[in-house]
Amino acid sequence: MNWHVIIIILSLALLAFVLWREIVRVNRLRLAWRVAASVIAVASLTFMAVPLLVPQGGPMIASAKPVLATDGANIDSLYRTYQRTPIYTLDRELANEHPGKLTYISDPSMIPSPAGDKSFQVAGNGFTADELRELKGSTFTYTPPGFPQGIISAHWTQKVQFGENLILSGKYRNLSDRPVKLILEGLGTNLDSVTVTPRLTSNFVFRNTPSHAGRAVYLVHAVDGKDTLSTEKVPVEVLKHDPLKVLILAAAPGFENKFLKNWLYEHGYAIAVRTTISKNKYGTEYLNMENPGGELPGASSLAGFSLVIADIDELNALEGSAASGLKSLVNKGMGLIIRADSSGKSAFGAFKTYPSAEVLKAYPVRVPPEKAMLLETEHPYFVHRLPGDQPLVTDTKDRTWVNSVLYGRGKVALSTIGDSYKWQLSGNTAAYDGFWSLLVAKAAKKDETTELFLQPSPAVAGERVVMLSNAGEDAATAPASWSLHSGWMPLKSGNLIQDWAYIYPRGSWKALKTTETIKNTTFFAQVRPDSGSDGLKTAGKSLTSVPKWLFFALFLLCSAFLWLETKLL
Amino acid sequence: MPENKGRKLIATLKKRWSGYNLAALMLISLSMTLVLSVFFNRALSLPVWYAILFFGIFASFLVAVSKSWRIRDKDVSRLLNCTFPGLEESAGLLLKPRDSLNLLEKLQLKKIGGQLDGLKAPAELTRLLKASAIILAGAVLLSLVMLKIDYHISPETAAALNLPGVSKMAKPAAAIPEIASLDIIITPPDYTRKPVHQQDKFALLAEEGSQVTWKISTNGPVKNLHFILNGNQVIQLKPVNGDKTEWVTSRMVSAPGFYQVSCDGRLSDLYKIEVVKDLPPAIRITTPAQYTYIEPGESHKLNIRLSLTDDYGVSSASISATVASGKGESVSFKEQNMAFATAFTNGTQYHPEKQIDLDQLKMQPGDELYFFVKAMDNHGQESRTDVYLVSIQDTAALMSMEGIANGVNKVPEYFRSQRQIIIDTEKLLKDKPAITAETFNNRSNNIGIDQKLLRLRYSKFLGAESEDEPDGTPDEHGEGADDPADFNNEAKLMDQYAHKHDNAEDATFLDPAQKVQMRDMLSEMWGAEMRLRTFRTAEALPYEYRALRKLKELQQQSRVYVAKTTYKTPALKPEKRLTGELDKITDPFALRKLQQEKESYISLKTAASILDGLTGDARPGAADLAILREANLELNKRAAGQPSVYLPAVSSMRRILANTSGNVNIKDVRTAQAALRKIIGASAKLPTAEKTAPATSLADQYFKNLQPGNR
Repeated sequence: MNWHVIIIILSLALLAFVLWREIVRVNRLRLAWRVAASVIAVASLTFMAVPLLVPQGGPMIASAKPVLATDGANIDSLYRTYQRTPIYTLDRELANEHPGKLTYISDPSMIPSPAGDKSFQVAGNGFTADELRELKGSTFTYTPPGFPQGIISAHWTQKVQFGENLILSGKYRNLSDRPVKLILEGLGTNLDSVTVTPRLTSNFVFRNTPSHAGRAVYLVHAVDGKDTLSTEKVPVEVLKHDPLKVLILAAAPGFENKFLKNWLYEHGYAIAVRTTISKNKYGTEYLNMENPGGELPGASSLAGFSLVIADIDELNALEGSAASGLKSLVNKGMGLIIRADSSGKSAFGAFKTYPSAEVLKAYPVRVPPEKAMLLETEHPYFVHRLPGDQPLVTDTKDRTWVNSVLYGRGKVALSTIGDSYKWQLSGNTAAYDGFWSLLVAKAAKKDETTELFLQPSPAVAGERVVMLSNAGEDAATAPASWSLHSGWMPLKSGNLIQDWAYIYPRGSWKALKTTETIKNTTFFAQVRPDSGSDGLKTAGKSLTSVPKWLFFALFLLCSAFLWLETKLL
Repeated sequence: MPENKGRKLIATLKKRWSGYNLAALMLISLSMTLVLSVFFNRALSLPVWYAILFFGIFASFLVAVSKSWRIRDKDVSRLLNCTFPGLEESAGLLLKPRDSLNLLEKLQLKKIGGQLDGLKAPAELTRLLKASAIILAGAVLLSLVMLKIDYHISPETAAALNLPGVSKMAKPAAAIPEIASLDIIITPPDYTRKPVHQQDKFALLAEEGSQVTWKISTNGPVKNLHFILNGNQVIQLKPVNGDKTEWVTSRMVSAPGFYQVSCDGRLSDLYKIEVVKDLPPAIRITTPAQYTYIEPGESHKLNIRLSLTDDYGVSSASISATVASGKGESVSFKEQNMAFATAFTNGTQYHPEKQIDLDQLKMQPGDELYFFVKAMDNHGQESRTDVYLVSIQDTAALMSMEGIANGVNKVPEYFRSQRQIIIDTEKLLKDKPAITAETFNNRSNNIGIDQKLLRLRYSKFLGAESEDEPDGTPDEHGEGADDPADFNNEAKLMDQYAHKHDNAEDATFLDPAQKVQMRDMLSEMWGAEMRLRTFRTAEALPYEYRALRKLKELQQQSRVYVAKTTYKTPALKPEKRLTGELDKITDPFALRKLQQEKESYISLKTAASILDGLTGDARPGAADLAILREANLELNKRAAGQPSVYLPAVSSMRRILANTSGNVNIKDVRTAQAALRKIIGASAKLPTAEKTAPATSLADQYFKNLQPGNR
């Protein structure tokens, strides 16, 4: 018979005897206490001989592979779990924080592998994209920890055009039981806020038109009641307003062209206007620009304009060199907006219009990104769709009011809206601004500039960053650098400051960065799965024996009580 | 029976005692309320009605907690025993039932029975009441004292308490150590009838046009003491005594702004000057409505009721009325001023009334009365209402044949029948005494049938050809648009997006406004018909008239339309168009340059961005400093107009500009930025070219090869 079983039977017999003695005693004082003490004493005696095993918190490792601890790993718990397994780290700071428990190595290839398969386990948040690139060729297993609370993704246009909305969209993971309020602060003012419900990951969008010109740092606070959980920096650069050079060709004097001309003029745009007054009689105006000399829509005078806005009659009336010159310039990238009329004529061969079947007082016109607004017009007609076109303005019934197509490297748009000035007259200047901003921005000659930016984004101080441009270099081959200071950093091309990038202080966007590393590492580990058995998956709960001195102490305590109790009688 | 008498006595005493004590509790709550509300009202500007709340809380608390008013019989007997030795400690026997008494007790009861008659109410009964009266007197005294005390609550405490009205409080003076004391005397202008008030802090809140006198005494002799008003104007103070320790200046305050004390070159904080403007009187006419039609048969008396309010006092008010009579070119106007019966003695609120007899104004049917009310306050500011219109309906004009006789008659024949119905109805009413009830009913019914036929004819214009009762409310959208049952209704969903032709509703010559008018007219006709056919003929008449009036209006509209279309332009001769000699006419030419950039806030916008860069130990460069100074000037200008909004920002901006060591306070930066943001407001969207990557030679080649000619 097993030794343990004999002991247990003997103990039970002893317990029965002791209990019987206690119960039959004449003086029944403190019976419950005595019974309890007897039971504990006998039990302690038993467990001194038979070890008591209790399950332990962490996973027990069946096949011990070396462990590589990364940022975010609970080193103490790792150390307890992997008692016989060495724990390494690539992070010198982490090794210094836990001396004796971690071994610092500079390269994962230095990890000795007892199994000979050069594989290891990774604990913690894992590796960044850069570190993973270094790890190419090594295999490891990885059990991701839980995702952290905070902003786990965020996107905004760091460079905002003058008067354009700053739209910050992102995702917040709220693990707590209380709602978290997100506040966008800019220029000392709370601009927008959103509340994230408890235990939910939800999307949020902030909208605001920045009031500054140049660079400024906005803030996103996550607030729980009165406590600020985190504050993240949102750098925003409002670009300098760059007025364009626009030529307007009007078939007759009219309100639409007059309002458009004045609007552009007042905002500093260089405008040339040629209005047909009578046969071969033209009114010419040069606003905010010098007289270039020469006949206006001539090939020489057209150069330098980014956009031509022409009435369809005027365009069709152009002859010879002027017409071909315009075509070739559009082909080279200049924009052309044709203002159609109700005659149904077509210009540039492409667009065809048709009149509206119903006559309404006002039409709900949709100018992206705004919602539909009412347009009062007496001559509603629409543009037919074309293969490869891009409708710019439609209405709620999806009829096209303004359509555009590519023409060489330039763009041609046809607008049937001839009453947009009524928006200004009725005080709805925002609608007017939005409408013409959209048309001009879409049609005007593209501004060819090299834009520089940093990768990764957000780039945190001390991180390896690569400067890339919109010309499309390969991030792997671009020269890398490490920025020590946070704040705005000039990006130079040669000696010229081309752009500005923001280097975030250490610890910024922590939840976002951590989520990213966990995802990257999980993906990396899944793509190249460990060839050997997965240690973590086969692991069960580990058991440890309760120390025997504890039972000895308990036995002494109970016996002492029982002895003293008889003396007290 | 002594015990009956005794029991009665005990019951009365119990009731009185408990009543007195309850009253005492109320007095105590009243005292507590008084002291507390005076304190809160004075120190923290809590409204007075809070007192009711306080009283409620205290009274209910005391009544709930205190046992003093819950008097038991036992307590009364004990009190009697204590107060009257003659009862020989036996008052308790009075409460016992007679049967349970033993012989000795019965004897004792009989003995004390005689004593009961001469008993006076013990003084103990009113003890609590007297005490509480003394407490109340004390509370009244205390509150009187508190009313005299001037409270200086520090803004920090006030902010911590978070009470309303506190934000108005300014920091106490003594920013400059040389200034020992300050006394500002504000004398409001006479018309406000406000008393002269004094204060010892620099921040001012004064009525417009107040005379303000500053008296400053300093700790020691001071060479020069002056104020800097709005950052640019110097107000010199004059020494009163030879030691140059007492300084004085006086000034009329008529515009808001801010000022700073300069004492021998040492500058204080900025203090705001806020001005309470006198508003013109507010007039609100309650009756009549802006457009009133007096139908035939209605009273020709017009009641005008209005309310007049002003912040300091109304000095006069009157009605200015104009009667317009006549038609076409012979319209004549008669103007008239009418006074109210109310005497205006500079009170702040009046509700004057006036009855105008239109007949007395010699108004006839078809005439119109235009009137407005004007009022003047004691500062000479005048305000007036919109013009109100009262017109007497001219039945004769409605009945006139003018439209038919004069040429253009676009109106079809049935437009005339409503007039006939009115004539018939009036004739029937006239004949009523002479005919039998049956004939009357018959004729009334017949007119009703005519009215119905007429109504049906008109309803055809609206597409309704059935005899349904018009609902009277023009409903453009149809009911139940949001009916949940329609959630998946395909036809309804399609309606929103589909493009429909041949809508019967739209296939008429009438525009929507005319349709609404027509619908109104039909509902009037329906009202007339209903009354005619239920023999309430007299009641039907106003409906008939209204229907006719609306018909007339429609008719007028169609006439206006006809007049427009009859104009004929001479036919164009296309072959002759644009063939004139134009060679002597020169082409117009213009060359213009925008002098000043319209985006005047560009420097403020840049300043906001520069401020953002100042966090940390960065210092602004010379160019940046110039922009910040420009922004500072703009802030100063704004603060002069709205000191309570922009003054903190001015202080912050000054600290930022004065800082030479770097490490600018982030709070100052944020305050200044927030103020700049407020000035800048929303920026308009402006077109900009889209950005794209520069074309590489490879992309260029690719594009060239795509061109049709190059293939």
